[in-house]
Amino acid sequence: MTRPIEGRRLVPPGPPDLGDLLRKVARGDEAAFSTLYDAVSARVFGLARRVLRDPAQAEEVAQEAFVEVWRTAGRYDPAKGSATSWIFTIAHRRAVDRVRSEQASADRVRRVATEEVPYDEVVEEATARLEQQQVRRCMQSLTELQREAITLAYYQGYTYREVAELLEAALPTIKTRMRDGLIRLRDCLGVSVA
Amino acid sequence: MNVDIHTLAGAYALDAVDDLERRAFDRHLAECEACEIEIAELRATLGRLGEANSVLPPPRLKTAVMAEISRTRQSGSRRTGTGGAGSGRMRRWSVAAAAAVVIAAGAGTAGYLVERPRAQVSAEAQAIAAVMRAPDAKVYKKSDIFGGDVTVVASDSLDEGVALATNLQPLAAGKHYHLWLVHATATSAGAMPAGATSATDVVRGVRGASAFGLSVETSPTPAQPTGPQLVPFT
Repeated sequence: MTRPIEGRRLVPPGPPDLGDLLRKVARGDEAAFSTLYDAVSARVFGLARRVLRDPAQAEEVAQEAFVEVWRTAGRYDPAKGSATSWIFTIAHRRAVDRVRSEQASADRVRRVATEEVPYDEVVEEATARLEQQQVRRCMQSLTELQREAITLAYYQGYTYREVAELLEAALPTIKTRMRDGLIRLRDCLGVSVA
Repeated sequence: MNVDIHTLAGAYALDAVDDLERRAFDRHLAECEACEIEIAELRATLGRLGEANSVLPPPRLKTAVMAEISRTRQSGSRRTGTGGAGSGRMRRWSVAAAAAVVIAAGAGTAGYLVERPRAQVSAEAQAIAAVMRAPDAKVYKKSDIFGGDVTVVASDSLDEGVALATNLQPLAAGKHYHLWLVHATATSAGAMPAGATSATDVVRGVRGASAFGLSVETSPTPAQPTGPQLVPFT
């Protein structure tokens, strides 16, 4: 007999259909919301934690994001991407808004080089590790400028103008590197929406 | 397609634009189907980066989220009349279940959430959410309190706190866990039901308190705690 592994539910290899859950959530189904929470909370919290650095703030932002998911679930349109992607967009936006409102940019610049959330803090789970390896491999396939521009914006909440300043590059260059870097990453990870 | 604005697609997907640019790009998206697909794909790509950063949140996050959504109205709600009064009741009970709540009305009198009228249950859920959101909320944690973990979130401005106890050791029949707030002396903050090993408790009058405590009691209304274990407010 096999025993369920503790915490496995949180990053399931064959996740429940999140789009289906979101539709139920849109009708006010709290049980469906609870299942949805279990399916994505480690990823949402991990993202908030990565952006905000501070676990207490990450908790607040994750809570705000989940409440927004609950509140606006009726607006989710499956034609415009997966449920996970929709939830992530909400969570990332919240995290970035918080970072920008709470920290003077001068303060953030000093923190850039010194802080990195170590990878060993992530959930020890086989599928998550495989995913990590693939993501890291694909990140390595980018040029240094592409990688830095994407990392500074996504994980640290800098605007492209701030990124241009930090990397001492021209604005149009940074805009372009963000876009072509993401496109390369998309192709490397084999992401498609259609 | 507007070539100029479209070069912002990467920055937009990364949330690396300001509000004005975001609105301009939103307008652009509304009239460009190819761009909409591109943004969806770039966001899905970023979602994959996010997945590689999973960290388990503390269990109290789910308690707080479930308490808050139960009192949050949905916008553009498609809710139909499928449930009526019956589903309303279910919603309230699921708040109770999520919070696993034991609540004391005041010193010496213990009342459990499941015995309360619906209006009061909802008020407790709101009290929990209010404390969790208070700007001056402070968090005190202590492990190994009767084998479990106790976290107290307290707000001086609201003069209220929320105590969460989890994984306490099971007790022999006839005994229960009793909750206390310590000022100069200990005041009862209510009793957990017999057999309960976890609880979420709204505690009033936390301002100036020095600790939250748990004790094992036989009397439902003990005058003083017996061998209490404390979570100091320091």
